[in-house]
Amino acid sequence: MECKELFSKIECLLFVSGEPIEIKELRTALEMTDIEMRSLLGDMQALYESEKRGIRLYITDEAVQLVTNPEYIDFVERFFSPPQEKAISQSMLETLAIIAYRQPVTRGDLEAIRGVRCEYAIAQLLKQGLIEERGKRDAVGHPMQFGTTDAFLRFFGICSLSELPAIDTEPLDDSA
Amino acid sequence: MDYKVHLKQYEGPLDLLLHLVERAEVDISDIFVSEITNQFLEYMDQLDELDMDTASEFIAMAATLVYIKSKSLLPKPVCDEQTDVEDSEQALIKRLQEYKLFKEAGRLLADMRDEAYGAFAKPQEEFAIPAPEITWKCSTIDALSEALENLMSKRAYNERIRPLHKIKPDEFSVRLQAKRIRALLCEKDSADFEELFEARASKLEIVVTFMALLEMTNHGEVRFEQEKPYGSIRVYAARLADDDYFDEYDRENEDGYGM
Repeated sequence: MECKELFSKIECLLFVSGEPIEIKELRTALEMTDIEMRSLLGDMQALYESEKRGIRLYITDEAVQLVTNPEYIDFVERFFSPPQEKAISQSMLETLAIIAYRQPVTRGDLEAIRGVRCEYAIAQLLKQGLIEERGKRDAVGHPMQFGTTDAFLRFFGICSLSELPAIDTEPLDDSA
Repeated sequence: MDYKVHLKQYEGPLDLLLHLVERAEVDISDIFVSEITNQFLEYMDQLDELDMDTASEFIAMAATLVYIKSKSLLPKPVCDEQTDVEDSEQALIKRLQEYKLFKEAGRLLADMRDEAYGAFAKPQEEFAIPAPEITWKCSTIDALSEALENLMSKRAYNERIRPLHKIKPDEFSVRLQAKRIRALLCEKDSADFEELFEARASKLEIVVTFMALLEMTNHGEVRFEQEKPYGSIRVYAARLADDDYFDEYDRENEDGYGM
């Protein structure tokens, strides 16, 4: 059935790429509309999950990627013993949280909220690909603004910014 | 009374303030009602442990706290001064509350990260870059050299060289011959190997032309096809270029060929 063939073609592309492929690109290559593409990807994802496959489709707002099924992580770790990941530091997390919830923000915005200099944190986050430049703000000095990336979503296991846990970003005068 | 903690553990003055507020179990908005300013100042003797930038941030905060506290202790003049003090106080309180929110958000993100870990992906496949295409169809380098030999023996090149004729040093250059070959191929798109050489060419001319042909092959300008073994070789234009890369030849051999 044509559907199966499309599944297979997409599977090939995703495997070879390893890295996320933009949904825009995929549907152009397969000559489908955005709705058709997302529907197809949804079906693929459901299929992998129903069959409890070792691989999964990770679909975000913008891109799709083949990843392993986290349920089997213990098994993978025993076999490959991947190096232990260093926990991301508190200052990175704070900086990242502000950018995620308030994007786009400038370095000045970040430093005002955190009360400390943020150059190092910004540089590290840029290097890790979790944030990116988002154009200059139309203000004195034309400072650069930053926002989160698709990689940020994948790093934290969500599929879109709307999935960020709700926090009350407008501080009240009396804290609870 | 208090356990001593170190400034280095804090992500800046706001972090320390927040810690003091939480430890004292007061509301952030009550920060100036309590002893927090004094407690903050107690930590200032640890400033030497910090680098200049971080230390200066703590000092700035300490100054702000002292300013606000002292203003609140002085009798308030009846005018804008009042709003000024309240504003600084309110501003700091707001800052602290906002900072607390994002610190909490950071912790939430950390939890999310822990849960997300386990979905591995692989890096992109590497493809070997294919070498530029040179089509040798049924043609070997031996065939090429043999063709040259035949050419040399067939040509009555002796007729060209008059015993007393002086040959000028730079009569033939690789560059010129390459130009000639290019011109020919532009006209005809392809030619037999023999056609590239003048009918009454001297040995020198043949050699230089052959070298030009080899250079052009090296640069992918021409390609060869031979229909059958020992058949005639046909030269095709592939990617003809300008003659810029022949400069080195001409410079190196200013005395001319014919060593």
